[in-house]
Amino acid sequence: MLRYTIKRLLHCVVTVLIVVSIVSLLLSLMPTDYYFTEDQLIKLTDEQKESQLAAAGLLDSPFVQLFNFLKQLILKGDLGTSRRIQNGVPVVDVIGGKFAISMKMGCIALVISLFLGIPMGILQAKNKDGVFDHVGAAYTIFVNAVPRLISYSLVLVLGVRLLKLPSMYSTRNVFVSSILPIVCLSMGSIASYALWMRRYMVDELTKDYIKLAQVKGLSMRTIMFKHVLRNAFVPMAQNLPTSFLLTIGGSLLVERFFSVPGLGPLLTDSITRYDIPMVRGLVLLYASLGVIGLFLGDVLMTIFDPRIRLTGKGGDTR
Amino acid sequence: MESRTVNTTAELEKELGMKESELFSFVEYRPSEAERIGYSEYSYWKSVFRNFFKNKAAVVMMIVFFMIFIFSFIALRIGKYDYQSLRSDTNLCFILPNSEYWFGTDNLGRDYWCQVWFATQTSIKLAAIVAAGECLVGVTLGCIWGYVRKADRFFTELYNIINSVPTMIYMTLIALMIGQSFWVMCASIILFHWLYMAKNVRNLVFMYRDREYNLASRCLGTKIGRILTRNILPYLISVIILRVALSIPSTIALETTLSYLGLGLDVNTPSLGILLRNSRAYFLDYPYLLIFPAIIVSLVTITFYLAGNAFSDAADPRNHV
Amino acid sequence: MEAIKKDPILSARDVEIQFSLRGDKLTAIRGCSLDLYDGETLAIVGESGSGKSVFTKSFLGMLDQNGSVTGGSIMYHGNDLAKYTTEKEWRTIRGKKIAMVMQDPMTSLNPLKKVGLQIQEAIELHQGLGKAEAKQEAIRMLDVVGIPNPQVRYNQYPHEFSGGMRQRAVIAIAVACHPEILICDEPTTALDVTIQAQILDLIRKLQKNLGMTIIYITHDLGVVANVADRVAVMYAGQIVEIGTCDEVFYDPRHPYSWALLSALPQLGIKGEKLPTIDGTPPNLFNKIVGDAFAPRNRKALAIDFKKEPPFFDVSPTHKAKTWYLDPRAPKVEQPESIQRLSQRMNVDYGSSLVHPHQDPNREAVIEVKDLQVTFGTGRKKFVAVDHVNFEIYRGETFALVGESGSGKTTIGRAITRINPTTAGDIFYKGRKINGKISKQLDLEVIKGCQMIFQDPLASLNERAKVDYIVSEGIINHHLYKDEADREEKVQKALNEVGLLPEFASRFPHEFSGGQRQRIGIARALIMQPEFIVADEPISALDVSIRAQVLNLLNDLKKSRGLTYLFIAHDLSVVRFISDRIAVIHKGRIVELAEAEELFRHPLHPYTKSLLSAVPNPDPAIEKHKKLIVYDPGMHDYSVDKPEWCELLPEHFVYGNAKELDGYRKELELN
Repeated sequence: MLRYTIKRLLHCVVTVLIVVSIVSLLLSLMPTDYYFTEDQLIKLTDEQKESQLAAAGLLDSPFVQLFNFLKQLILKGDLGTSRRIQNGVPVVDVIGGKFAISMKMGCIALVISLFLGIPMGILQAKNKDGVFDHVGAAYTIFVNAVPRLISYSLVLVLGVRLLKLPSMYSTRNVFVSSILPIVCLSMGSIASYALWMRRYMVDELTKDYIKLAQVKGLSMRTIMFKHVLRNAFVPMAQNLPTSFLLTIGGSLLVERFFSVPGLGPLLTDSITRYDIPMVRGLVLLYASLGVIGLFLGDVLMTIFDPRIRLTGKGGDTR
Repeated sequence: MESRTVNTTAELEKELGMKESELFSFVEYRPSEAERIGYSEYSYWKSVFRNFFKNKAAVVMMIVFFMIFIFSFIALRIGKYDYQSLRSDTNLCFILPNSEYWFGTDNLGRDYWCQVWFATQTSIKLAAIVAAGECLVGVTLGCIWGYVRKADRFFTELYNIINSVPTMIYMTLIALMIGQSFWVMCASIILFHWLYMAKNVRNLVFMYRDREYNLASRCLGTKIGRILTRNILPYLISVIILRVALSIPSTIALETTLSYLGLGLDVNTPSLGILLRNSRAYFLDYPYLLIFPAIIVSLVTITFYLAGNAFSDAADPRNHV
Repeated sequence: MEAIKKDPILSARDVEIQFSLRGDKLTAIRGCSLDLYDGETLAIVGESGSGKSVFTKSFLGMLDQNGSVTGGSIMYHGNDLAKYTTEKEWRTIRGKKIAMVMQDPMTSLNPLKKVGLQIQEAIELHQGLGKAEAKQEAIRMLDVVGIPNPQVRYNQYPHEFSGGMRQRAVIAIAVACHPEILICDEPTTALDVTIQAQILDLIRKLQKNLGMTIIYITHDLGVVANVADRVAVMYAGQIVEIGTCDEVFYDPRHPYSWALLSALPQLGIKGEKLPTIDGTPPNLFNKIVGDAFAPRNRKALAIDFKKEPPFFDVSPTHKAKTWYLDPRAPKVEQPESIQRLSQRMNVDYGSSLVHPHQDPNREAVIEVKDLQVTFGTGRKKFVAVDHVNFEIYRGETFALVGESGSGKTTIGRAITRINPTTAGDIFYKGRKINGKISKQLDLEVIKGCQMIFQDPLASLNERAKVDYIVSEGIINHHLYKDEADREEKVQKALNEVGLLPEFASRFPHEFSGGQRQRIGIARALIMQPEFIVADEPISALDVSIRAQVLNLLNDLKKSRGLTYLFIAHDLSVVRFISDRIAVIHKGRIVELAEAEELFRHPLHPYTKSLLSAVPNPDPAIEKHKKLIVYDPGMHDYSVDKPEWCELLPEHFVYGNAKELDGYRKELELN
């Protein structure tokens, strides 16, 4: 078990480093013009531009740049300092500040969607083909099929017009202005938790052991709660950590849409402004979240399912 | 379990119209008749389509989609303004829908009708091209991934690497490095989304690969290519159709997101994302700017979502009851 | 039987059950009546699709959602179960009054709940005991069904149990409900022969000790002889014959019962054809007129096609639904094999047989030398086949018998080059064919060695027409002149396996299991092979279909001079068809001898236990047989290393010096 965990974690680290390296190499393919503001592009001479780029180490071969970055990261745990987003501030601090905002919102949205989505899925499965099931299905279809941008716009229009909520996030009125972004964040995950929970439960209900439990004389209600629920939760458990980590990582679209100063918009901003240390830091963060999510998912599954032992190759458990 | 009363000879003869001696004589035995009685008239695809057409919602939506699609061409012709010759005129901005401007005008005073229908066409075209590309690349590589044992490791790692960061990062990079156009967008979505199709195909190929009928083919010396195309692919068709159908709403959604973030199509190609991006600041006051494109595009995406799911239910042999 | 004088505890009358399937109505049960008496074991025998399972499920309200009881009544303690609809009503019956053991023990336990708790649940519900008491009772139940270490087992999950142990646990759950009636729905079909015998023993013991009434559903007549007091034979949704065990076995009256019994390989005479039932059971979507069995009956009467026969009494306890019993009907003799059974004439095999392997000029088609196959690497390494040696001579049927997981299929697949080998050699007509071989030799092996697969459902490509499936091999290697030639070859192959030419243009899912299996055989035959690996070709088939396939294989052997490697788990079949038998256990062949020699002088304890577990369709023998349980722990190979030794000519055993001495003494005693 311990040996497997260590092996698996090492594998995670390698994956993250590969992802970061690939993105770094891709970044060096970008035209260096993005490094300068529009003002600078006009005012600076070619030589001046050249020397600034050289000072920042951007004219070295992409591999040397990558190597320097990895060296810093592995030896000192240093991600460098931001340049264009917040000049001179260490990347870790920039990310840390924004992360707090995203995390608060993400956590609230997650709790809401867990508490609404999973019971909704259970109730749908229990009343399969009933009225509630159809209503739930209509909701999931709406959320999944209609482009998010449109459903967010609808939420925005309704929220602002009917409930008089602010249409933008503002630091002065954090609570009220967070309501709409949180609704948008949870809308999708409620649908997907409900959808998966229902599907897994319905799948479980066709299994033989349910028939044996019925023959034993148990009521469907008891069977649902004492047998089906836990079995259906195993595949859910595997996906939970990933979706949790990605939710707290901030949603690009929601944060942009409501101008939330969270992690989401930071990434595109950093790329468009050629803030390479920032991009690397963010990619490192996202990749770690993704990989750790998968790992935690597997761990969670072994807790719920005694059949699965974390040994051998990682792929076997999935 | 009392035995029934046995009919008298007279009754039997009357009922069955045959003489007693005939009734109780041996008849000629025909082995082919015995062989024939076990037949069932079941046909897989017939059942699939019967089940699909039973799903009224999906069928109705399908019809609505085709009507929208055809109408999008008509709409551009019957509209009073041509998209190419639109120009901004601040005097005409935010005119509510009327007989001249059927969908009103936008913030720059341009006719909204032709913009919306043009955007619908762009979105459908993009989604169709991406679906076809994903299908082609995903199925081909998915088959290799699933069938060739040595390739498994490579593709799995590739999958993990691409899947562990939001694809938005890669999309952003590509948009900034190569530029923003319709075809770049098609290519970059295909480039990252084929993996999900491939993964799905791979799992299925993996499942069917060692079924007995494939062992039989191996035993008969059938080449890999033929095993894949004749033995395995036909089983995947329903899943592929589902994937393709579902990829259409997701591509349309992705396009709106990317364009909204300024990473998708260029501002001069009216797509849904661009329309919404332009009107984000105004549709609180002028909701028609949101409602018209939203309804049309939602009808399209919901159609494919419903149809895809209806088809996959219909294609599941367990539902052939 | 004195029980029959009492009133029945459950009586079903004219039950009709319909399923709606693909827009059509399928009548699965067509007016079935049954009386069940207190304390008896009633066996219901029938092929798949006969409705035996559906019929009994209706006593519990466990029909699938698309099915319902559309007619008749099921009276039980004054209530009509056919009228029950709500879960509340059914819960007064389920478990409390009628419990059920299902077919597949691997899926019928909740994988995430401790086995003990699953039993305890039933106890708490039906016996109203508190937690602690219920736990003690659950542990006691585990002990009652013969699970060793019940204290430890209580806390284990189903995946820690073997198949046999799981089925015991399922039985414990059913019995813990203290039901009046226990329905066992093919409880041993998914299990190995030796385990099956143990479970049957257990059910018999429980019935005796607890006085339950048992309905035992099975397709295997051998099993019936063991457990049943009374036997009901079902065909196409009706009971066609019912009587005491002895009556049905020794004096059956319905032509279907005859056919079913005489198709058993155990009753066949080696070298002769088994009496077969042609075709397949009828399609229940169609309305059936007359006797449903008539089209398959070689001696059907004209009235059979016109009018459904009523039940005729043979004795107070014995009824059959056939016009043969009408006084006006001509007399029809019972088939020979049934007369043999009822007169207790044991068939003497052996003397008249050909012994190709004793021919000094014999030619080995296949030689397997020190074959080893392992799967996985490192800690997960698993040795599937371990130093296996044997030869197969031209013209013989060589059987490889073992339980699931013994490695028998792996050997077959190694020979046909589907599985790679780890060590050792395989020779085909003297040339090594494992590992890397030349293209030309590969083609020769493909043409020469073909394979027939176990599962008729999985072994055909559902999405291709029969025409393509059968001609796949010749298409691959262009073994035909033109399209017309190819079609002719397909027709010839189909004809050879007894299928109609029109079948070529159809898809496999239109056919029944037996027909599909024959399509699989045609696919192998078209390559004109010399040697065929038949991997459990009949174990997934119904009894009546088995005989067809066995006969076909034997006919082909004669007409084409084929050599077979016949892989099976069932010794009774193997005795009928094979010339030599190798018994394999955990990847090793433990004994190899000529078929009759093996049956007369089994030496290895594993062979003995297999032989003792073989079900016999003779109630007199079956009811008194003694099981021999094999424990691999009995061999002590730590010092004294075992070897593969030819104790008698052509009779090999695996054992160490001490064991071999013991075997020799045994042989002298005989």
